Amino acid sequence: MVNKICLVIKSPPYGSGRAAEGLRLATALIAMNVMPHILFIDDGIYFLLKNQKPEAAGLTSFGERLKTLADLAGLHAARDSIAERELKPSDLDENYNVKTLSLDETAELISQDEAAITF
Amino acid sequence: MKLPLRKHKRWCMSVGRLLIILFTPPWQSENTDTVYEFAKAALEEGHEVTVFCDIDATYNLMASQILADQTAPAGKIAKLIEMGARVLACQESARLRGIDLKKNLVRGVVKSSLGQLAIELAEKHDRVVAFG
Amino acid sequence: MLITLSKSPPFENSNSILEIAKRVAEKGEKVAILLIQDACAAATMSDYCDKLALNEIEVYALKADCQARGLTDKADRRVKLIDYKQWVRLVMTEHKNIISWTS
Repeated sequence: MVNKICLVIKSPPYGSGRAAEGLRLATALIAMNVMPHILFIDDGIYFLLKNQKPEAAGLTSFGERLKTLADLAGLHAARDSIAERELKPSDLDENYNVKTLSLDETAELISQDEAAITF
Repeated sequence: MKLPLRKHKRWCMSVGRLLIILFTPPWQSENTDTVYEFAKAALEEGHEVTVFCDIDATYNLMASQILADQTAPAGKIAKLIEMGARVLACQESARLRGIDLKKNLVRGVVKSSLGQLAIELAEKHDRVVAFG
Repeated sequence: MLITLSKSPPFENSNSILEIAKRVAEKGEKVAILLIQDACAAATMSDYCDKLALNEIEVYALKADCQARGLTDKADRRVKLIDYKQWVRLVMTEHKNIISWTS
């Protein structure tokens, strides 16, 4: 049995469907009563920005799904990835209650996981 | 964690249950070829191997791609099944891509779902490796 | 902890995982990086290998992928070239935490 799973969202939203599948898998795991760690790192942090208007490009919003995942499993984001992209934690949507992590804390999170899958 | 110690028929070694998740379509990346070689090696070492094809990876499972004069990725999947791997396909992914699950799936592929992947991930394997 | 990289660092956003790997190694956990596919290029970069060696992170590269790319002779001497069976053993018996940094 794999005891703890980390879904690492490192691709940005919209440009590719890759990360969307990670969010869907997170939902499926939670439905089976398995709480994954959900970590946004590198370009994945763009999922968490406020004021997104995907409908402007004819795209589907991730807002609802992210809110559900935030409420049920909690969302983590790497602080360094935010800063590297010239953003601040206050640029993230406060509805998601994102827990921002230092590199040490991120390492601590991932060490607990027996499987980590990137999206 | 300790793997269950089950004696393989010929060798004394611990065998485990390996889940491989593939997300990418054939030809666009090396993943299908890597999965084939890695899964083959795991089977030869006596491990139980499951390959789950999700999203675009369902394109690897089209029987119509298997032609006599070439080694298509779908052919490699078919070989893995022959060698004893369990290959699962996300039905929703396949349907969205217009893949005919009744007539065009490589023989032996099991129709599955993201919900089943969640179960496989959480309960049924000792190790998980993902590609793509 | 075994971290598999399939895209060529340092160009493909793999700096974060390297930083994470360093911190996990600092805490005393056995950490190894396996370079497969295009990531094999990193096996030939001494700077990259220096960084890993400094943090006592073992580096493996998939021999078949290095051979495919003509990189076997150029691989840093600290990189262990392994075959598929050895990769299976790394995953199934030598490491408990498997990180697939392959997307």
